[in-house]
Amino acid sequence: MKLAFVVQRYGLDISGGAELHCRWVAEHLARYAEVEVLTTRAEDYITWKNHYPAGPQTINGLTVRRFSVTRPRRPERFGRIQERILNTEHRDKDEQRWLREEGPRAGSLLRYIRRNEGAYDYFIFFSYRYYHSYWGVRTVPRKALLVPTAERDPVINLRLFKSLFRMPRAFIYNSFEERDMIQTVSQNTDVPSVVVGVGTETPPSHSAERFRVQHGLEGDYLIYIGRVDQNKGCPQLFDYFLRFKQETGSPVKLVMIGGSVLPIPGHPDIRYLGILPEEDKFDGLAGARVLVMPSFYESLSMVTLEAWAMGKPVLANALCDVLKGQCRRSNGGLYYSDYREFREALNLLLASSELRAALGRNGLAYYQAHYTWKAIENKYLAILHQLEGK
Amino acid sequence: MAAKDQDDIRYTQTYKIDYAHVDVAQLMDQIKAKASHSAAPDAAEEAGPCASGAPVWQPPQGPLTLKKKAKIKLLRFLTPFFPVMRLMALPVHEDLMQTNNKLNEASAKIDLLLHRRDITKEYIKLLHVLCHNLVMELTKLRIEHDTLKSKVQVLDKDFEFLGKRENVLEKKIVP
Repeated sequence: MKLAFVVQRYGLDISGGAELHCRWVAEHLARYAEVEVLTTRAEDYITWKNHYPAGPQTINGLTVRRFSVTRPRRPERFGRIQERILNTEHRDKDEQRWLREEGPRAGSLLRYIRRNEGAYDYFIFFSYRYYHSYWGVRTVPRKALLVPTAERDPVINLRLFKSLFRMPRAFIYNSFEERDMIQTVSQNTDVPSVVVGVGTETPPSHSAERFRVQHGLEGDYLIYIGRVDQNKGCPQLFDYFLRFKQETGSPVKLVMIGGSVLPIPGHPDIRYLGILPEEDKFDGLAGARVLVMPSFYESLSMVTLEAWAMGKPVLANALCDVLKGQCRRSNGGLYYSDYREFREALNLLLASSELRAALGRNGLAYYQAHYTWKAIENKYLAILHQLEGK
Repeated sequence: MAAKDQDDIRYTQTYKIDYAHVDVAQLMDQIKAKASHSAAPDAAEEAGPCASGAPVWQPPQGPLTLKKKAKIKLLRFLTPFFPVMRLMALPVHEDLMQTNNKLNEASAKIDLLLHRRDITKEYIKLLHVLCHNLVMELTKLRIEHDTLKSKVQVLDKDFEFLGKRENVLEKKIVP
């Protein structure tokens, strides 16, 4: 079987959610099938400017074919068009203009797909909202599998995606909530689908003590891992955490790991450590009481899965239905929709080591059942074989 | 055992948790109930910044640039003149209020018209359905009429045939 993974960007230095997801899945499926990656030369997702050299290259043993972006995105113009189509009545033509501006516009990639349709058994497209997926799926609908990586984002309600969601041969969703959202939008229940997600692996050894010594941490701490950003709910987390400390007098600390685009409050119990190597991240997770996930929009939180893989409980934002659903299905975490619930849930988690251990155990069992790489590979292979049998 | 640990145990005992089979949904119901019970004391503590719902922390607005400094100084300089400026702006304000009132009235009229248009649209839809049903019924009646007409023709022919037969038989019996 020969598979083509089609994604907007690809590279070892690209850490965007969907791109990393695509790379990991492609590298794992390469054990069972001949895998090639079709992508653009872009590195920057704001402008899609050509950065990597054109033509085929090998990354981690996979052939990666790069195609030029013929027209980079103009962010200001794109912002204006998006504002207009999301907030005003508009025509289908305007949505097409939005898609063209969204990019990445790589006509040669689409031509390659059309001319080489016969050379591949299936094309697996990542991220529904980009130009390459929209036109790529339309070019080879009978061989197209779509991994939408959709969040609860207003663009999902655009009319042009309704027809797209009825077109591929099959869907590979990240979560049940994502599937329900897309099925509600497009009524595509007759398209075969499977909920898979992405796997994760923990390092064989980790040391909470090493992390504490390295960063001078004492006592209990909560951990947040990810970009410190408005969209990730970090301002709300800072507010809730400081209110919690003010009201309860708890000595608990908040450790934050990841790049920041937001000023961090200058409180002694909020420790921002910046971007750390993977090893340190897992060390930090091992020593934490709870992982906090304040994000409003997630199609699948990989950090949450990593916390469960380490047997740690999670405290998630209930306004993100994916996180709430994952916590309920796994029985591995609590969630909050306002400050009072945050305070009660955190109080309980900090007070009861038995509860933390029980939630951690449940999370670990959930991870082992659904999110080990073996489980992910089997789900991908099952849907591919199911399609071959039809 | 430390006092903090005892407090923790007491606090945990206020929840019913089966640690062997933790049900997060059920636990969240208990947490929600407890959070809603704690709403009353929060509301009573109006004086506190937390109870008033105001966030304890918000992202800062950034450093003071030259533009912001100039704005602050200009505001300080103009503050004593604000009453005079307000007095001068009063006629404009009144005009604005009048225009606003007129716009509100116009908006109310437009809403009324839109409402009437919606009602009319609904009537048109009903009439359309009614016409459609009438045409259907008329068509059915026409078909039934044609069927009955052909049945009458058949009966008429049968009757004519029986009449002729009767005549023939009569002639045979009474020569």
